[in-house]
Amino acid sequence: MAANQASNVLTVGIDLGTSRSAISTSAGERVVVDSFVGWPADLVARKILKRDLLVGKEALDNRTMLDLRRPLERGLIKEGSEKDIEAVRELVSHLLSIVKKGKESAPIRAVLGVPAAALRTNKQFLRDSLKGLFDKLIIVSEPFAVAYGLDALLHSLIIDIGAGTTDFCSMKGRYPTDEDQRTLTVAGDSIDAHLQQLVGDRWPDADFTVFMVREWKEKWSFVGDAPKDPIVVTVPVRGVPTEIDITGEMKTACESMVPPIVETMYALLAEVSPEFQERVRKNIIVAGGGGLIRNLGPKLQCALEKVGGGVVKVVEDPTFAGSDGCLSIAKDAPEADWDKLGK
Amino acid sequence: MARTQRLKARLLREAVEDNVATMNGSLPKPLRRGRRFFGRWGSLATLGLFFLALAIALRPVPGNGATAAEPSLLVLHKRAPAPAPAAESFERPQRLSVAALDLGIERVVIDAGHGGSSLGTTGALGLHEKDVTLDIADRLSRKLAAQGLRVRMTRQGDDTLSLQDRSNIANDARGDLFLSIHVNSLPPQNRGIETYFLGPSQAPSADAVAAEENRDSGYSMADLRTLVDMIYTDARKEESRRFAASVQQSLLRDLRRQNPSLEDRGVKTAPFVVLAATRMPAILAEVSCLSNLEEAALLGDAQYRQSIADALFNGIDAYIHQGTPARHKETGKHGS
Repeated sequence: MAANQASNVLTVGIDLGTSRSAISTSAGERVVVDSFVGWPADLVARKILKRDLLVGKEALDNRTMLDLRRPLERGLIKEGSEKDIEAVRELVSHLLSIVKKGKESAPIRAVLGVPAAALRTNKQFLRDSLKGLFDKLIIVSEPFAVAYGLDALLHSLIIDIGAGTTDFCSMKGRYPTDEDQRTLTVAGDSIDAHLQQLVGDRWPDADFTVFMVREWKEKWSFVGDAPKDPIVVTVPVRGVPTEIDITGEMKTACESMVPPIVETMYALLAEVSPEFQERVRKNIIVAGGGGLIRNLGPKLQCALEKVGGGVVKVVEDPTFAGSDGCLSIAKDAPEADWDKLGK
Repeated sequence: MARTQRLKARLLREAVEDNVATMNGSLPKPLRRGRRFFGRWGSLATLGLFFLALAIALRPVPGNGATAAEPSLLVLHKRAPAPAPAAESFERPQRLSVAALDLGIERVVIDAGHGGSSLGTTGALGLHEKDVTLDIADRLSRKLAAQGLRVRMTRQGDDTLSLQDRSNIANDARGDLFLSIHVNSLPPQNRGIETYFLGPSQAPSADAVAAEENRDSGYSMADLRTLVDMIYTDARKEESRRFAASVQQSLLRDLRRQNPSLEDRGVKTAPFVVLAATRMPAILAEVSCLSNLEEAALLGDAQYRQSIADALFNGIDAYIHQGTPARHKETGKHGS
């Protein structure tokens, strides 16, 4: 499909995530940042940091000195909190500032992915909150964007496992309606919480934070057969650095998300017309950070055997599958469609 | 290839239309059932509306004898688009640390699921859920009482109680904990244990289990708002979650000694009415699965039912002693 934008326009696709936000641009740039924004907590912190605002990993690394915000909850802005709205604007501005270098005056057309279950009021709130940052903005369901980017628009099922939500979208050759989509709150964050609880229960004197748990998960998450080497982490126990084996806890925490995902997968498959069910079962695509959980694809594929078998593919680049899909939409949207959106 | 491009173009158009509708504050597309309904009745409804409009338009206006056609039709046909519903704005409530209140646990309410005319699920071997739950509840109650806790059972015989009756009994008894005992019914190949606390469900199967257990709740549609409020804004949530986790962990650990293939179906949230209306930390444990032949056989064995009661006791005991050993008011009597 031909791109219809004027040559000076910067077209971007953004996956605004609870944990990480990614941007892909028509100029070929791709950037991902942690979805954290922090302001120095006091004058001393400002003096040390020499900055008024930190975003992403920098904010996370200096969190003790910051009023740190993770402004998105389940993929949406925490409504009612002015500071979080400001944080989302700063987060998006930060992403844009990275990709706009040398093109500061270029008008921006963006497609933004949001969770499948986002209500119209949520989308409008997001649109209002980001007013002024874009020339034109289209908001789409995140799994739809993934499907669009992968040309999987017909007879496919997208499972986008993020930090705040796991989004499902059954692609039937139409723009997905509520009945084609599901959102579960069982996602990366719930694994973190579960893992934190399990490790805390087993080693009550161990001192660790959710940020550490998140790092462990990102390095070693798995379902099914345990890795050859046990997962050993070092945590202070009564102040003494101690090695603990969390292999069992990691497996339990990660596998806790499998039953609800499988059940929702079955439920959506059952709603596909019988003549197409087999085709959909053979075209299930896992995207999002959850796609990086080892053995998750085979585990879900194994679960499909109960309903006649199928194929589960994990996208090659889960981090950018959403933003790349959004970019594809942005690039393909004809001028007339952008015009309908007004300023 | 051309087909894909055509499809993409159509989907793009629909995506943009959806955005424009959002900006205009229009309602989302109806669900399929709604579309079917309107498809079938839409033409009739349109016809009806037309005649209604005509009747209103031609209705004589008292006093001058003229018709009120213009304003009436304006109301029907030129209705301005509704403004976008304002995004609800609220301060997020801060989590309350119940530990800070240093509350004791003295009274435990044990609810044997179903009873009387409500059989619950029936196993392949003819065992009824209502009988299994009463037997386990009775064994558990005796064990808790022996340890110095005050126990109230919602039913001690084969009585029919609504869910509302059960929560009233628990609230009237000023229970500190509420445990509702149930036995699951799943597809025959499935088995295992799951423990619920109150909240919106996270998976379709949890909805199905809740719908099954919410039958004959005693509440009507008039109570919907109250129930939904309770489900979403319950301050007891964190304590109930910890209580559920403790019971689930204990059931799995203890019962796997006799039943090694027992599945961990997890700690889950679902909108159980009996949990919504109780005022104390409350959970619902599906302690076994009567629809599975092997588990049905085990449930027929008194020794296994005693093991379930013991495991539930251990879960309650572990929860009471989590973090704050002084939570049990009669610490002298309570040792395990």
